[in-house]
Amino acid sequence: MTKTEALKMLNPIFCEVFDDDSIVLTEETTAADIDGWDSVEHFNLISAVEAAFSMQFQMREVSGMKNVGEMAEIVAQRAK
Amino acid sequence: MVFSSLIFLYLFLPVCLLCYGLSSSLAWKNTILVIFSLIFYAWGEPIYIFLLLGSVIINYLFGLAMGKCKDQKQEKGAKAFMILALLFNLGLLGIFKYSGFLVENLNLLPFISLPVPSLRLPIGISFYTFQILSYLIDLYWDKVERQRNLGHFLLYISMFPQLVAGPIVRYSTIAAEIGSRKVTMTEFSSGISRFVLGLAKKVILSNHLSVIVADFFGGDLSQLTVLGTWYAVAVYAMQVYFDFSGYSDMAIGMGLMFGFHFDENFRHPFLCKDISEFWQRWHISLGTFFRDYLLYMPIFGKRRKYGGLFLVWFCTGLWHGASWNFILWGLYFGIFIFIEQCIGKKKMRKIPLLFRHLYSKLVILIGFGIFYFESLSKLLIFFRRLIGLDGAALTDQYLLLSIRNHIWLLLAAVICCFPIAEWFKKLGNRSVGSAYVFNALQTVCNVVLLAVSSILLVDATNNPFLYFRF
Amino acid sequence: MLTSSLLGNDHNEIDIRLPDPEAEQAEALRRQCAETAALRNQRRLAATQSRPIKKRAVRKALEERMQAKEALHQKHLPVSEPVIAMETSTIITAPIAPQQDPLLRIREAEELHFLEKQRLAEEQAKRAAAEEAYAKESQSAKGFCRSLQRKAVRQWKKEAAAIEVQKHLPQMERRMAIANVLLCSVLGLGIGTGMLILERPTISETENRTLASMPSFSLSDYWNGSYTAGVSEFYNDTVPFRELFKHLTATFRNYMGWQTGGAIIHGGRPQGDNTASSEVVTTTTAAQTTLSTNPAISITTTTTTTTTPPVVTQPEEHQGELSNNILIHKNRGIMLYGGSYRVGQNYASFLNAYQSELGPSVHIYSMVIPTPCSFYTPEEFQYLIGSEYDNIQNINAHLVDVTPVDAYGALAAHTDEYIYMRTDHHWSALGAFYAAEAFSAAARVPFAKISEYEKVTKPGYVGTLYGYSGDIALKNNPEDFFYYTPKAEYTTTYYNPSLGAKRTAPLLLNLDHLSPVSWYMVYLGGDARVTHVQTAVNNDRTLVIFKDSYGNALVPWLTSSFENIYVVDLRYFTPNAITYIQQVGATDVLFAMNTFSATGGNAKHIETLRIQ
Repeated sequence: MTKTEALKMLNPIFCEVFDDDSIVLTEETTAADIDGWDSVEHFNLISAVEAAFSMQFQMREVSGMKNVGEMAEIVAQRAK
Repeated sequence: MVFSSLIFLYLFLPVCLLCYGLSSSLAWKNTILVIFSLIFYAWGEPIYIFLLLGSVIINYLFGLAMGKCKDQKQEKGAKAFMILALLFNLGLLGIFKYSGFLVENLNLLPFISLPVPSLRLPIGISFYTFQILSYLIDLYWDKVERQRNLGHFLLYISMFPQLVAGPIVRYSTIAAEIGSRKVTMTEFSSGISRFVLGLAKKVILSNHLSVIVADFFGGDLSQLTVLGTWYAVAVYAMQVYFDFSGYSDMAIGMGLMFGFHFDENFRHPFLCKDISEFWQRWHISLGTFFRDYLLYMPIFGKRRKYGGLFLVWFCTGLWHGASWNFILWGLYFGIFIFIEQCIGKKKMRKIPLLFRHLYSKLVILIGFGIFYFESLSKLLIFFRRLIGLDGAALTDQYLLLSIRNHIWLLLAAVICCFPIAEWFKKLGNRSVGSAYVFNALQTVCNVVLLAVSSILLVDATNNPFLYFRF
Repeated sequence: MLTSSLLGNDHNEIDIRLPDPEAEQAEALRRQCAETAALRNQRRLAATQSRPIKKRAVRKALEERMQAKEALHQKHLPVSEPVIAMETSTIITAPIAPQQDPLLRIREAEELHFLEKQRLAEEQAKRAAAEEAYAKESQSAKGFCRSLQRKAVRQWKKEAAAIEVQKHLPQMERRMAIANVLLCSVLGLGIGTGMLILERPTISETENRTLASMPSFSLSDYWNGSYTAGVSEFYNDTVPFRELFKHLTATFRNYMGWQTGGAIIHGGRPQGDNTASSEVVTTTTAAQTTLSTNPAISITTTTTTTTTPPVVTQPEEHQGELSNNILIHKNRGIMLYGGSYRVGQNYASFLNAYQSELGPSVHIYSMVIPTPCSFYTPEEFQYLIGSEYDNIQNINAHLVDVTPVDAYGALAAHTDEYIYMRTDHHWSALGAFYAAEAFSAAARVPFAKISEYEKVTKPGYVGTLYGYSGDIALKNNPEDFFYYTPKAEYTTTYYNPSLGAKRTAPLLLNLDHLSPVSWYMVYLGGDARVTHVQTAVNNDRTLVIFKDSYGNALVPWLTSSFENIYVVDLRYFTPNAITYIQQVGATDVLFAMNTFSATGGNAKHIETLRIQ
């Protein structure tokens, strides 16, 4: 899976977690860009992504991801 | 030495500020700060200061070793040092804080009867252990560079504003400022204002509220009425809030005076609409610490939701004290957070605002009851009184008298739970004239609050005797 | 019209500028619109200029808006002018050959005219529509626009002000910051230096104790933390002008609530194991008899294993007769009584032990003295306190061969007299008189009337309850302290608790050099001594009093009743009590103390004295 593919597959997950169908992800999207993305929602997001791709984030990655692009990269590497 | 004591306010702090201000270079400033911090700690812990120093040196070496392993791309070596450091630091904390508790509980098992160790808890060990861990873990995760200067590292850990009562300052927050910082007049002034605010919260509000709580919850609980119980636990919630946030305010204010910018630790927690929001406003530094370093721990496999949450709330409770009621308190909140997560933010927002406010306040108040009663039997009595069991009266003259005797204090306390400082600031920024007025008002407030708090502190050593000791 | 103009024209060009009335009307309308719009604009501009808006920024913004509107007007102006000009020029410049058929020319001209008319009609329609739209818009917008404009002006003013504030903010903040820092530093450094150079007090009158002193340095003290703690204590305790600040503190605390005319309780509610609640359970082994003369109060006993017995707060040793639960009502301080049937029983058993050991030759009396709580507690707070009456009855019921003295009855009969101090936890000399009278009746000894004593009054007394409660109402309402000097003859000898350091001194202390809070020490000069009063009475009656501080006040009243009086404080006596009683040849032994001592921490001393 490539990064762009992962990004495309992440989009619906984001839309569902944040309950906003108008979200369009780019590689530079950060928490500041999406309404309601706080630590509580981040937790839900991580769980949802992990469940969707059957993978696990490392602890250092969870709080270390700067933008969605990085998340997509990790997903691309590890998704099964 | 306590922040809210005359010797700290009028001997230690002025001398420290003077020496700091008169120091020419940053190196000298840092040295002065370290010296005074060590004096501050040694004042209360003449022996355990060596524990602090030893811990700092060993963790400094851990940091250097880990950094070196990373330079040489030895991931396994870095991991080994990380695990070693974790064992060392958590081990120390565990021994001093939890060994007695652990052995007591082990002794409940049938075949075990060990002598219960009673080690005295070194002041601030919960705080500085976590600060050290934040540095090491961030280093392991490549988020910070290792601190090569032992003096700087010692300064980070032992800095007296946040050493004994928090907030838990992350290394990444002030790493840059240790090496270079500048204090502007505006910042120094706002530091003073913040400090005085914290002092007033503690001395004027919290100390007097604690008397009310002691009146109701202090002795045996046989005469508690239903409303009396609710009243006392609400007063207790405010007492803890003003005490804790007051100390945090003082720490942040003093940090500003020295040029450091700590993160906020409290954001008017009683304005919350639900429990998740409460914990984003209460003891923020602890919440974020656990969120970043514990919540995503992959030990429970795929079931993050249950495992991570349980771990975090168990530890939150346990961190506050080595007693079952604290653990219960943490898990109690964890359950509500879990419920709220299951309901989901979308549905939570649909619930009418008033109901959400009532719900959150109810949960918080009962939570503080759990926090207060370390004896589980008394806690049970408390619960029963809350709902009117055991034939408790609804109210009595004692409660009415207490409310009447403290009415202005209670009103002031409730008002101060709201962000009045921010409101005033907004009013002040409407025009240049009003900004001047607001600032002048703030200065007057500072002077008055400082004076009143200091006078009240004179009574802190009150100890009347029946007869003159000839 | 067409043919006439056409035929009347000999020019090469065909001038088909039609004197069309519709076109003329449209033209006039357009001109009118433009004029009114321009007028309106001018009026607006004039209006804004007449109201001088000081802020350049706001004025500029307004002007810009005007200009924008002008541009808008330009757009709305009918566009027919250039079109017509174009049309006429094309028509004018189209030459028509003279050789052509005039009919063709006419037809062409007609066609052209028709097309032109159509075009003009379209233009006119468009113009009309545009004008209509504009008129409609401006009509509805007129009123709306005015309010919008006012709102807009307000908003711009606010924004402009905010911009101003932002511009000046850093400088202003800096100025105010300097002021803030200066004032707070002055206060802080002032207090700091004051605390260093001003003289520090050594005693506290309201707290009745010596203040902390600077500890001397020793390495071991440092290592165990007591040196630094002592330095802190010294610094925090011996604040210059300490009494003034404590007074201010008490006044400040008074304003925390609403006290006028009401009551206030300091120190929480008292604890007892004999209160009126029906669910009180105890796990004592001794069977308690259900006993009460007051039918409303009863006590039941059940032994349970689960509930912990209610905690009876045992006051500290030196405060055994005083509690920290103080009700302030009508400027009177009332200690709130908790009570304990259990300790009361212990007290009785201790006295029984004395009686059995001393035998019938010595008469033992028990005087448990009630405190103001029984007589002056307001009705709404009665439920908070234990009943001193019932506790006394409980004790009396357990005494064997010991004679109880009814001090309660004696005092209850005179509650509207000054039998208790208002600002102190002690009784007054008058209260002691009535109790002594009751005792002398029980002991069958002579008793002098009050007229045989001389009253001494000292105003300005604020007693122990102020120090313990910190309530400013007591400090602000001092009372008269009074005592009575016996006219009878007697000599007083004092000993230390080990019966050494014998010296003769007056029974009643000279209060001239004593601070008011200690005036109760007029009796015997305090507690920590053994007193022997030898009187002129010849009845071979020797009395030994074991007492707390309440008992001190009894002694002057008994100087006409017993030949010898020995006074021993329960807390300050080292020899064995029984030996002492036998040594001095006592005929009567009186245990005199208040209820707090009898059912509290001081009771155990009775037993200690007997067996030490």
